[in-house]
Amino acid sequence: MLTWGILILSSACCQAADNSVPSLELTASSERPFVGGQIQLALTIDLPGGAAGSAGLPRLTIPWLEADYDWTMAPASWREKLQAHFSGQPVLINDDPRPIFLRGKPSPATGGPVGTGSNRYKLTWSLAAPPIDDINQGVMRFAPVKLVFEGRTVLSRPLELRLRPVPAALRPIPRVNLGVGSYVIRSEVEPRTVDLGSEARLTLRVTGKGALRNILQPAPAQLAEALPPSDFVVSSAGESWSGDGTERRFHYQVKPRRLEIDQIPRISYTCFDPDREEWLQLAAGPVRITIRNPASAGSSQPTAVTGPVPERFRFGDVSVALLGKRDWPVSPWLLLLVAGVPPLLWLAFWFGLHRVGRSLQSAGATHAARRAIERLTGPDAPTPEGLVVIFLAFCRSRFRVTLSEPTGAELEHHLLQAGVARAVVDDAVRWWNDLAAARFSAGTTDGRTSLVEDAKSLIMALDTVGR
Amino acid sequence: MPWFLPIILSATLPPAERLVSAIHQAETRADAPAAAQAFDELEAMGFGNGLFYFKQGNAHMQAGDLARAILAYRRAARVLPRSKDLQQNLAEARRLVIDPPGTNSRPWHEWMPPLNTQEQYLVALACWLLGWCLAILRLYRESRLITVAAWTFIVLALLLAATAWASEYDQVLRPIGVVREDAVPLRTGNGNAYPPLQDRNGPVRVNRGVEIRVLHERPNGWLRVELANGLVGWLPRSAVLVDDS
Repeated sequence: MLTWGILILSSACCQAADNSVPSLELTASSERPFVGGQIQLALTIDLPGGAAGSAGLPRLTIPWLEADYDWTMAPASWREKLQAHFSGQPVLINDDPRPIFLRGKPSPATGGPVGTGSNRYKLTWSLAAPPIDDINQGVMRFAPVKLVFEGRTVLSRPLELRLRPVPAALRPIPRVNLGVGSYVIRSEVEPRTVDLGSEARLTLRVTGKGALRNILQPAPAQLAEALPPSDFVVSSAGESWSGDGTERRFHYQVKPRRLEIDQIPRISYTCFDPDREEWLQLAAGPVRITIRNPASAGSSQPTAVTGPVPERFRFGDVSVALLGKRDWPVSPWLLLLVAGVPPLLWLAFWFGLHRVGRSLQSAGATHAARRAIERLTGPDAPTPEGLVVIFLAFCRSRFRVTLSEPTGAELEHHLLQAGVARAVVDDAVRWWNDLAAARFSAGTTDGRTSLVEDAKSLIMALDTVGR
Repeated sequence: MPWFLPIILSATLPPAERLVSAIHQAETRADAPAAAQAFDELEAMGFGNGLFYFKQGNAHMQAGDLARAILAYRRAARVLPRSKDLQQNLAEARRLVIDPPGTNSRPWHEWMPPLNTQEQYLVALACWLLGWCLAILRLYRESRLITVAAWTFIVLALLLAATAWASEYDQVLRPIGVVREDAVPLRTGNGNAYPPLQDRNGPVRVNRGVEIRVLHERPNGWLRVELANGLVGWLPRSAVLVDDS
């Protein structure tokens, strides 16, 4: 990741090797930077003497600036250009399609007037070495910068930096790890006297050589070694910078939990010094503080107040009965037993009750026969149409045969299919034909009584089928 | 009341009562290490429900024993998966871990609703009973809806039961563990002679509180473990608290 800063330093009156030819040089503070360490990338430009102000505008092409990399302007404007380019601009390294963004705050830039004679300009970027990944393979390549001036074109030599992983194996234990750089932390607490349960503001001031912008603010949990949860409630309260951009400040709200606390303890931290190539283990503090008991302000009586431990961290509200209660009072074997019952029931229904159900179906049919005969023996003798309805309803209930005005042949066919004996079927067909004759002979009621009686006998005979 | 009376009274209590009494007193005195020790002794006596592990985790957390706190919270979470306090405390404990390995993905059974295994079994049983009742009803009533519903409930019950069983079996097969020391190298083999595993940032070291899965234990006191990011290596048994409950 590339982080902060640009710096332009323009100085005049430096002697170039050849006054008539512009030159370019791209260099880095270290050709083997450590991952996360700061790299100073410097572009030194020598223009022929006196040309900067008079002989046309130099054109500078910096290909590793992903956007707006072509500058055609007076050198005096480079500084402003760099300032404008500082924040949030992606930078290409290794022609990587994944841009790496510059972010953060620019260093104060200085620029001098362009002098006469040979003019040397130095543009400087502060970058943080990105982690080694599959794309960069541990190498940062910066494409050559091109300068066109007075019809001459010059290219800088390509720059290649080989990244080195930080030797994690030798890293000391402290949880606050500032990464690569030579840093110093000073801790401050304000106010120094706080009431129990009230907050004080702890500030960690980080200065030193390295990619300050790249440091991650230590999470409150990382301070827990020095400020254990049993003694302090710590929450992050943001960060700030000093006005000159050389000091980064991490703020925390610290709430002491016990009256016995008399200091914010030493906060150990570690950082990797890239020059000495070794891990440093350092410490900030301690800072003396005084905790007052607000309940007994003005009284010298000692109290046993332990401070506001969150309710959810309590452990004493227990009893043997509570702790000994089983989470799951039901035996798994009982569950298994209960689970086994339904399939067995299903089998029982399928084998036994399902058959009973079939005989119940037969019983239902007998009931149908009784109902039909009841209807036939009512006070009013049914008409032939009524006989048809009663008979067909019986057939439907008894044999599951749905017929609608069947002919004698159809009736015969269906009854035979239902398993009715031939003789009974013949009787039924004969009766059905007589009934049809009675229905379609106008005005006669002579045979109605015999038809009803025959119907009763027929139904009784049919009802014996399958039983 | 004479000063020695509480001591005499507590000495006459049964051991479990005495330890619980010690826990009460420890909280009053803000003596979390004493409470943590009492909880550990109770655990050795066979105590171990969800509430017990939660409170044990609290005591260890207050006492500053991060690894034991996380292990106790993890045990409690298996029984009390919906306890918000427990989740918050576990999250707070995890925040104290330095450079925890990132997670590749959540285990499949963590996508299930937050039910503990017993509850999963109960829901499975309910679906099972309902499915079979519908199957019995289906014997007497022709209905596609009843058929589909019966099969759905029966299959759902089997799935739920299989999930619950698999997560239990996973815990037996690959118990969780918590690293109890800082900067323990994750080695490529089961001995100090093996080099540490390397990643992009150099040798891999795990810190106190990092949660692992124990894949295998060698008789020479080394564990083959898997980190949350999928890295597999070896750690000494003495550097790991294993959940063998």
